[in-house]
Amino acid sequence: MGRGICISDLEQYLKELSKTYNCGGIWICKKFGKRLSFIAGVRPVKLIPPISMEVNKDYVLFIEDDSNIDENERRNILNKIHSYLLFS
Amino acid sequence: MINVVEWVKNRIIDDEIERYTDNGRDFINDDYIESLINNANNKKPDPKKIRDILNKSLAIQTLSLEDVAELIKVSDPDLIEEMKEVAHKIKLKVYDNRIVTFAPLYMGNLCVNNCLYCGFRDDNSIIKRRVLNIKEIEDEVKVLAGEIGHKRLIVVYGEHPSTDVNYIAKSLETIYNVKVKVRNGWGQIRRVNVNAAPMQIKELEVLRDIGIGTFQVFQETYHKKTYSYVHPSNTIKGNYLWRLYSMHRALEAGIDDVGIGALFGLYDWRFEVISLVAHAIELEKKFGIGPHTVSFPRLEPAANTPFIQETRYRVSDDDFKKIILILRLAIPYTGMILTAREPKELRNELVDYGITQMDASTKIGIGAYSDRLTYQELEKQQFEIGDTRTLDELIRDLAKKGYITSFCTAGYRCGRTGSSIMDLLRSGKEGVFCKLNAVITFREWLLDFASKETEEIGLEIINKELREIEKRMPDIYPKVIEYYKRIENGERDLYF
Repeated sequence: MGRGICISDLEQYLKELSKTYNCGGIWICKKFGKRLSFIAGVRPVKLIPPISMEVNKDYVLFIEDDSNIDENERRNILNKIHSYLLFS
Repeated sequence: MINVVEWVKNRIIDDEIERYTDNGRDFINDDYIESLINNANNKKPDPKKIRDILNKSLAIQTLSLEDVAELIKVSDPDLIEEMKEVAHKIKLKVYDNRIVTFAPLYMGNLCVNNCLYCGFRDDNSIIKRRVLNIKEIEDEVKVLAGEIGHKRLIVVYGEHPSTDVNYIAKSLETIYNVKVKVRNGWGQIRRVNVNAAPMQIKELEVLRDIGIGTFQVFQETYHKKTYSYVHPSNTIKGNYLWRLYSMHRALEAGIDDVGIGALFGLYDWRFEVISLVAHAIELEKKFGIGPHTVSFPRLEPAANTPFIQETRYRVSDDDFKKIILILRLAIPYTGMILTAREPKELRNELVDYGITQMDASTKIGIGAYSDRLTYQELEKQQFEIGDTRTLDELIRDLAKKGYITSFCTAGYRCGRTGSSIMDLLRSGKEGVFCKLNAVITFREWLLDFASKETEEIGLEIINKELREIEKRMPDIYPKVIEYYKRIENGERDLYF
């Protein structure tokens, strides 16, 4: 139950980011060796190769277009996602 | 020393069956499916109703069991032709104009089961038994990835303590670690799918953590009475429900790409087709994730296995074509695998029915790739294969028919898995990725492995695809060209 609430909050947060920064698809994956399994987020929209960023050793964030996100914002976003995932 | 009897005793966990049943009932209702088939025998199909069903398929909706029963009734050649056209359109919409290629790699042929139709059954004394060790696995992969150019494997294991989950995990790590210098770049296996016996959830979690591609278990036959007949009850495989819920356990364990299949020829093909669709519906309902792939192997001759000659349910070529058509229409988002069990001529024809994946340079003897045998040794194989074309030859034949070969393994490396890929497939977006990645990965293969003749025809196909991308996706085209040039300049493993 707790996991469901946090993942849906995370999903909502990623939707907001997609709108705010016009980044198209933005989604979180869990790492299993080579496999990166979809957890939550906005699925690909612009259909361009996504940029990947490590949230922590287990999770990766994919963003299709990060050109409107500066370094500071990026750090804040990753921290916030990390905190969502801590409680999932 | 492994105690095989003890190992067998501890395989099945009842709770990992019961938790998925609905009030103790499983999702294959034999009586209802038989009634649908009997009804299909009695009435002629209404063309209008069939066209309504085809429209559902075109909208990438999973068909109901009743819809499938209607399609089974169709025998009118004109309606069959319409079904073919729709099947082809669906394939283009969902996966575009590409065929993904792979190779099977058999890791061992020891098995504790005694399935009447299988060359590897425990009591088949003429089979030469062997399990590949780490060095032998590396040798096989060096040929597959370094000489043939495969990027994707389906690795096959018998149910036996010598090929248990720890062996599987070790073998997958070994495969992923092999990297071979080739003509212009390097050869490496980038996606390993697993075909193995049903597993426990904790074992599936081990496979998940290694990073497997798709986990496949075929039910063989969904018909309970036949299942009991061909799988002796004193074997693990004799437990129908343990096998039926394999995919439920895999999805619960977090392996979110699963493959289902039936072995056609054990029972009435119509029962198996309706049941495969029932399986897809059940997975969609319980997990929101349908089968990533569906397989439909036909029984083929195997050493010292008279059951295969005696079965009354052998599937004719005409019925086999109908099976593929109906499955394409019924589960329109799924990948469909046509293996080299089938002869070359039939595979060339069936590729137009909505097939998405084919194997080539196929060898199914244990250690057969590095043994470099040019003939089949039935006493080392599970069955006899029908299409012995090399990958280079298959690619050339596909190109002659206008298909581009794809070595794409991108999806599971960037989160296009599970419910995400289901949405992308249904919306047609994944088809865009299929097209782009086909061009990039095919160019890579042509540079590293193709014969001169195949490279020439391959480049013609690529140029046609690039023109289409430029026209249909002008925003993405510059990025495709950038990647294409980077591949030509020696970079490898780029993808959208």
